[in-house]
Amino acid sequence: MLAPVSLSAVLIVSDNKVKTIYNILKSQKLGILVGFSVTGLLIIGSLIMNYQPQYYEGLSGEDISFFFNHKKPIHAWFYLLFLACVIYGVNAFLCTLDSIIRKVRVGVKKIPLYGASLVHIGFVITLVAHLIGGLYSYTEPPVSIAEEWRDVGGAEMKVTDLKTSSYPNGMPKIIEVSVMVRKDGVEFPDTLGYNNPVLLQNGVLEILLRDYGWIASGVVMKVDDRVCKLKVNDTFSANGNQVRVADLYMPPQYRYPVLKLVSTTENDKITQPIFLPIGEENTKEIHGAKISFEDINSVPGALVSVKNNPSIPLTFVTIFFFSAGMILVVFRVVCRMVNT
Amino acid sequence: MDTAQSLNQIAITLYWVCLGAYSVYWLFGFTQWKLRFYVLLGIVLLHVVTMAIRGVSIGYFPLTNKFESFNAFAAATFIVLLIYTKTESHIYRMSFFGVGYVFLVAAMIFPKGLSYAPPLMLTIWYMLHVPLSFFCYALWVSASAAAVARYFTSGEKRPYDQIIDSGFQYGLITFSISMIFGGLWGYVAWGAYFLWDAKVVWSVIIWFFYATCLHLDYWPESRRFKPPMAIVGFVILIMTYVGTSFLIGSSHSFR
Repeated sequence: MLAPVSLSAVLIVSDNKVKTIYNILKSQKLGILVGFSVTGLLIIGSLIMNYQPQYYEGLSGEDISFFFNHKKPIHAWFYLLFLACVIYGVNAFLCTLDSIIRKVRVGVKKIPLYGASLVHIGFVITLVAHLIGGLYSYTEPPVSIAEEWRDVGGAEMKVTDLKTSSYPNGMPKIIEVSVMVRKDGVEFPDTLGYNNPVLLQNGVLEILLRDYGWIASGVVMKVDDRVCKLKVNDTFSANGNQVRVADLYMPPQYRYPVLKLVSTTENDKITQPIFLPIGEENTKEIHGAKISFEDINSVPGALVSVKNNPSIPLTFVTIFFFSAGMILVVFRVVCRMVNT
Repeated sequence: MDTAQSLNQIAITLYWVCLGAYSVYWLFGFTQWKLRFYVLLGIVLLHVVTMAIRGVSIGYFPLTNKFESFNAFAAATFIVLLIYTKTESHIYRMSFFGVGYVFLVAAMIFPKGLSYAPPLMLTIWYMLHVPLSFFCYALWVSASAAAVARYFTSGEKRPYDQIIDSGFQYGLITFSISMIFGGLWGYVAWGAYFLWDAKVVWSVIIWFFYATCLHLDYWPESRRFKPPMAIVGFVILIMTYVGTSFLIGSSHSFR
């Protein structure tokens, strides 16, 4: 027969269990064990990623959703790492909380003594920020931008100027792309370059320069003695017949730019496209008019990619805590050195 | 020959002079501390001036290729050694010096021609991130040298434990600051403060490793593992700095 158990005894037992779990979770020994486990798992992961790269195609940036979207036994190191990081985060949080409470209770008033706690808070926020960034950040496919407004991740952008400088051997040095950005109806100028992205929404939206150069925006043609400035898909008249500039490219059979012209006149006998290479010597007769491809008009352009990382504001909070904590720790160390 | 080429030629000549001087220092390392300090100080100053000339010749911080990187790491090692040059143990000092010397010799094997910094390197974050990392690596090398010396010493071990502790502590502080700068650089250059790239992953590994080592004091029974951990740390450090370029593919690989 079971002995009757009072409610208070059950509460005491469960309270003891909670206390035991709490003590384990805030134990510095646990932190040390988990710290070395994280180190080991990252080493294993790094070696697996290097020697089995076929399983990690598509993994980029700080992404961790990859491991959950492509569940495989070979990613076991990551799942263990994830679990270890969760325990690490809880452990660091409870240890820090415990340390701060104890310091406050005994009346520690020297601010530098709280430096390590601030660093630990920064560490916990880093883990949370990395979780958010790893799960929810994404990069949109690259977009080329020139003189016309293009949509870039919820904002619009156009290039207004391009300045470059180079080293004596011709290698690019500084690239400065002047752009106009339009967001929520407000237009403002900005510059884009390597290490100089355009930041929007407090840095959550980042427009990064991937490539730059001059982009062909139109062509100069001569129709008989008439000079026409046209863009791709524009039409012009040749003795009353409409001809469309269908494309501008460098086909493999030519070594120079070529225009693809298509006649758009109804009941036209010319059904085949006409390829017109650049240069007056390549003048062709279409509908009785002499047509030549004189020049290309180019405008500055840039290839950009848009990165969206919702964890960025939290990352700045992390940097604040880390920096403040580090300053206090360094201050404390310097004071200790001076005193000794 | 233009000015940049001429300056580079002067720098290369001075690098060889430095290597010769460091080679001679193997003898001075065993003399009394004042003499060895001033000799090393003189060579380090010449080394720093040499790197500055190289920097002027390329128009940027001289950390753009294997040659410059290994040179800078060696210089960081010798600078940190200057701080600890009073330490009595020859084993500590010369094993610490030896690491820097090996990197200097290795540097001299690599091509030394002018190499300009690519646009992605042209940022304040790079200039803050890399040199700080080298000083932190040097502090951790110091800790591992102290651990080695500790095993070969029968007498008082406290001075070595102190060097190990300060190496762990100052190294981690320096590396944490360096990681913040590196993260900011990653954010403005690639849009990500962390990448699944071997070098970045190993930087995180080494940070976790030393952060954990620093906490060994809170577990009294585990304190005795600090010296072996300092040596293990050296292996991780070499893997992080060199292994990720030569053994594992990384976007940070030396060009």
